[in-house]
Amino acid sequence: MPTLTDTQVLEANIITALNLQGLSDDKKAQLLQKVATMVQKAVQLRILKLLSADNLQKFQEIVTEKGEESAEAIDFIKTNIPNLAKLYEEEVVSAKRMLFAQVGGVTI
Amino acid sequence: MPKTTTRSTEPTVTSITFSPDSPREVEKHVPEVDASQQSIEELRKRTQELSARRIAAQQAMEKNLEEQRRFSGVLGGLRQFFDRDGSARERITQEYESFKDQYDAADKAYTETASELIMSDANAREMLIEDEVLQMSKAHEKTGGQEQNPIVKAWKTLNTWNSEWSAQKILGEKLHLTLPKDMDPRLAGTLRFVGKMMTPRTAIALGLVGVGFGAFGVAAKALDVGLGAVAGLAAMRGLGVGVASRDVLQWAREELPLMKLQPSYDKDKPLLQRFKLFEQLTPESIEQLPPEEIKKRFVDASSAVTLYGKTELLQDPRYQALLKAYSVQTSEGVCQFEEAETGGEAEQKAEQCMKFLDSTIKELGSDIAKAQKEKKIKGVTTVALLTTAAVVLPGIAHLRRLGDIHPQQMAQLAKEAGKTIQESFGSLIKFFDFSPPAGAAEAQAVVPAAPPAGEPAAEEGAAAAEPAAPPAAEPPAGAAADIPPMEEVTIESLKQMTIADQADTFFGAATADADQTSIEDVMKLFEKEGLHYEKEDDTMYLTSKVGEGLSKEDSAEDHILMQFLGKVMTGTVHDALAKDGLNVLSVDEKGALLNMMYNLRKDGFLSFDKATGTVTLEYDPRELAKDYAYSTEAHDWAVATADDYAAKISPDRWNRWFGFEAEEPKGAAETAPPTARGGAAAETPRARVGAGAAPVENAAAQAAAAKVGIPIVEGATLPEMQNITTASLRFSDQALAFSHEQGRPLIDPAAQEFLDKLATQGIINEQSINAQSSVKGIALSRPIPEGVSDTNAMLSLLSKLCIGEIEYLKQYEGISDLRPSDKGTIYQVFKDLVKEGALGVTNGRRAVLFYDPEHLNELFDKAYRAKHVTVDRVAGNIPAEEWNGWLSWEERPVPRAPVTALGSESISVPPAGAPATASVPLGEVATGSPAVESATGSTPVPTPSVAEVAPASASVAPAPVAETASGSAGAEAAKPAKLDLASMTIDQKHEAFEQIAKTLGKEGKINPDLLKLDLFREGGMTMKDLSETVDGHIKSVSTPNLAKLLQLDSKFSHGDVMALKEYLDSLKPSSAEQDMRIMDIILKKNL
Repeated sequence: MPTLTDTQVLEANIITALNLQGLSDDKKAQLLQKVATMVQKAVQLRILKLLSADNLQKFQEIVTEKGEESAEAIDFIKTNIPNLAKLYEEEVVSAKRMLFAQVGGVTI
Repeated sequence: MPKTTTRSTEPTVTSITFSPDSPREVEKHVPEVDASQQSIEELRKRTQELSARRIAAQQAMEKNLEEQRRFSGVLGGLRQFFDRDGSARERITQEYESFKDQYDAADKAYTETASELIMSDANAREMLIEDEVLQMSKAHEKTGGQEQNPIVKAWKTLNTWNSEWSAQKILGEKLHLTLPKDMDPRLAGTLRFVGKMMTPRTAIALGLVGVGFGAFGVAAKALDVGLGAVAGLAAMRGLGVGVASRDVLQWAREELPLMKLQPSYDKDKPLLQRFKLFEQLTPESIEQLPPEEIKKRFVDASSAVTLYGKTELLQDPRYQALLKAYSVQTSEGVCQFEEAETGGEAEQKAEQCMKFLDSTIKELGSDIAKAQKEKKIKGVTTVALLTTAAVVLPGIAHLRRLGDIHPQQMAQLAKEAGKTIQESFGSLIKFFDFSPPAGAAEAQAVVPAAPPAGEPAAEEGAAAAEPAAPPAAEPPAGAAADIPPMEEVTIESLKQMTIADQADTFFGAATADADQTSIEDVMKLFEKEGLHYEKEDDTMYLTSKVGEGLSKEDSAEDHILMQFLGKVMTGTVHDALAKDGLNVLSVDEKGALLNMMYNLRKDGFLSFDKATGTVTLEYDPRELAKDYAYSTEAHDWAVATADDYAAKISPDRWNRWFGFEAEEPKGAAETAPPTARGGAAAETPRARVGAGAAPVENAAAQAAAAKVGIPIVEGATLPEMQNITTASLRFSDQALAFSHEQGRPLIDPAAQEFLDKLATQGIINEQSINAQSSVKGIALSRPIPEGVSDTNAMLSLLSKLCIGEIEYLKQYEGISDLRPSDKGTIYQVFKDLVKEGALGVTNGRRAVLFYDPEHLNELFDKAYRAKHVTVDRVAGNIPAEEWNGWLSWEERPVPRAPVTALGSESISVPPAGAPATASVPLGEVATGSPAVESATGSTPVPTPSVAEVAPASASVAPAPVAETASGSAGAEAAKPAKLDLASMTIDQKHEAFEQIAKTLGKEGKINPDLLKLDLFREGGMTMKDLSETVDGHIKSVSTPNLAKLLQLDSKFSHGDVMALKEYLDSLKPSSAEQDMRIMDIILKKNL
């Protein structure tokens, strides 16, 4: 199979790409939820890794003092992880590539 | 508190693998990783093997088909000639069948294995991530526990953000909303929705199905208008990913508390009027339209699509031309419906589409911000629709291009999103107080609206050119001359002024610097209308007294207030009607006015002092204009309800209040073809049946009230019930009849007649209505005949009260027989009531309903709107003759029970000295409900009612099995002996379960929720069905809810509930095993 571009991967539907149309709706939804949770955690790990020890400490202080939902907390992450949306996108692409490799027989 | 962590390699999402609160939990599961990896490796090999087998079978099938095709065409004819006996073709066909079987088997095995692999792999990867986080956290460990660990803290925070917050908040533009703690929950819900919608995790899920960051873009951007998640879920479905429509709608209903059906298209007069302009267009003429016109026409047409499902317009060349023109003018990109021909082009178009969306959103944001700033949005709806159209349709077009969303799905999505957006914006606009400008249309139609004091007139001009303005709001030339200068205002001209004119006269730019004395001189003109003017600080008040400024013809409070309101609103009403080409009030206009009055009273701006008979209005025409515009534009339940009430007030009264000389033509309002329930109450059959009937005399009310020993409120008059026949009372009418608010007699003749009618059916009122207690929760009961199940008895009782609703549906939906959905509606109400504890069976074998018509109306309306296929099916399984019997007054008459004031002789009363057992299960779960309040009302009634002898408690000593012969026999028989569960078949367990449920129900030991469980058995429903009715999804049933569901007092321990919950979490739908297991748990506890 030719190498897929990130855009192609991004636009691929893992259900159809992996020929899983035969799954029940519930099962499809479960599967998506599961993988999405995994991606979510991967994103979180990336963020943790991108924050220096000092920044982690600062973030903790902000969250403790201002609260998890404070604008300061969000701004802090946005400032220190400038392209957050891109990070999400990369992890989605990465997860899809991983699944394609694991399952094989990808149809795009 | 950390969630329970249950690591599992099983491919199920219900096994939570990681505590979001703490990565420490991972530690003890680390050894599992290796085993898991081994298992995954095996799965991977197996999956790839199956995939190869599947592909091979598929290729073989394709090759075979190729061979088959060789027998067609000219050469194929030749081949057929040589294969005269057809053996070659038969062999090929047989081979195909064989390949097909191989393919199907491989595909099935592959699908299962691959999904298992994905789930397991995802689990394993999660574990690895968590392990890594754990290791990181160890490096940051210090004293103070996990709370002091920055990794733990950051992980927990990020987890919350990703799974609970809106993507918009984290990734997109922030929407700052600070909700006051005391805000109306309804409004707060909307605002929360707007500010907190699709989570990043949901967005990730979208990314996985390829609507991903394309749709993520749609979603994240469109979060501002509440589209994202609905679009996302629907898109998932549309792309074949599969989230059942039920789930989408269920989700939407749960998430969008304000989402309601819109009134019918045919009733949306402003839209209809504007839509005519669209109809006059041609694709060619569209090219010549100025940009603003394109926008207006596009919005109007889109409104018809999104709000009213006029999906045919999507195929209309004019609509497509408008869409294209609008897209081009709005951005440099285009967003067309045509399918892209090449991949490169598709990508390019996708980018263009996103650019288009970006610019559109920005423009809309700017529009809204501007309107908000100026507090001059012309037409709440217009803005909402503009947003809907601009965001939803191109967004969907984009999705469609990417995938294969069916046009109907698109339309449905658009429709749902449109409703949501309109609702959200309606509330937002109210919240931010940038409701339509003074008098809405009037402000524009009569004069070029003067800006509020202190604002330059130029801004107003700009606002007048607001692109979103409906054509109806455009000012006619020369209309400005209608308002005379202050010094020339007379009472006649004042009466003709719209409320917006009044605002301009008293507060407009021209009068900003006017002599205050002259303003007060004009205000005093109201004296001639019987309204006394007063000023306190800067607030102006108009007051009037019954018998002085106000006619004594009205004595009910709401009528008096309407009479007062008419004196300041006459000009507004006439002006608005003239614009619509009408000369009388239609029912929805009446409803809007009534609603306005209710709102003013509720907010304290309009009041009636009963002691002195004085009405006081805080007079600020600017605010009144907003109130009027809001009432006329809002399409929420309140208006529909107000329509119902308004329709019951005689036309003569309306005419008198609002200065209409001509008699409102009989049936004028009847000509409108209502299609939406509750939208046109005046047109109900009952209204026509009674038209022209003699008004009910007050004496009749007194007689009726005396019959039940109820005092009449002094000075009260009868409501306008003469048009209603009791046989067809809808719930809203029943509510009106039983309402004793607003000066109505405590019991209305119609109400009494209604009760009498019920009594002929054996349904008796067990509680008196009295002046002190709320009339809500009248206990209506009916004996259960031999051989009739409890379910059917309760349904029968309920159905008798639903006849008016069914008559209404029959009349206006053109049905001649009950549809499954109608049965389902009643059945759903029945289920809701049982769940609430408002409907049940006494140990004296009587079906009892704590009757609250207002609540019934709500339940019925909710059930009517939210159809449940499963419920319909169950209801449909009940024989038609049963339904017919229940819903017909004539058939299956039950001998009239002897009725006294309380009908007490028909009620089973426990023997003297017997413990006051819970013979009525109703109160058990309805603690604090109106039913209980009523049942424990402070005013004693002469004879004990069911509720009184059976306090709402389930924790009392066991009751006598039953007082009546009919009740006791069954109950005794139902008492199960010791059962050997292990050797019982599922059918035997079903039977035993039912017996126990019935017995417990009769003894009052079982709450209605469990009784419902029993009913589900009767209806042949599965546990899955049950779960759906409980909380949507069995997996979403929280432990407290489950505990409530299975609340059996001492019978079920917390451990039992937890065990059941754990089991339910893992069960597979519709398996016999689940039934066995759940029944085991219940049976064991009851043996």
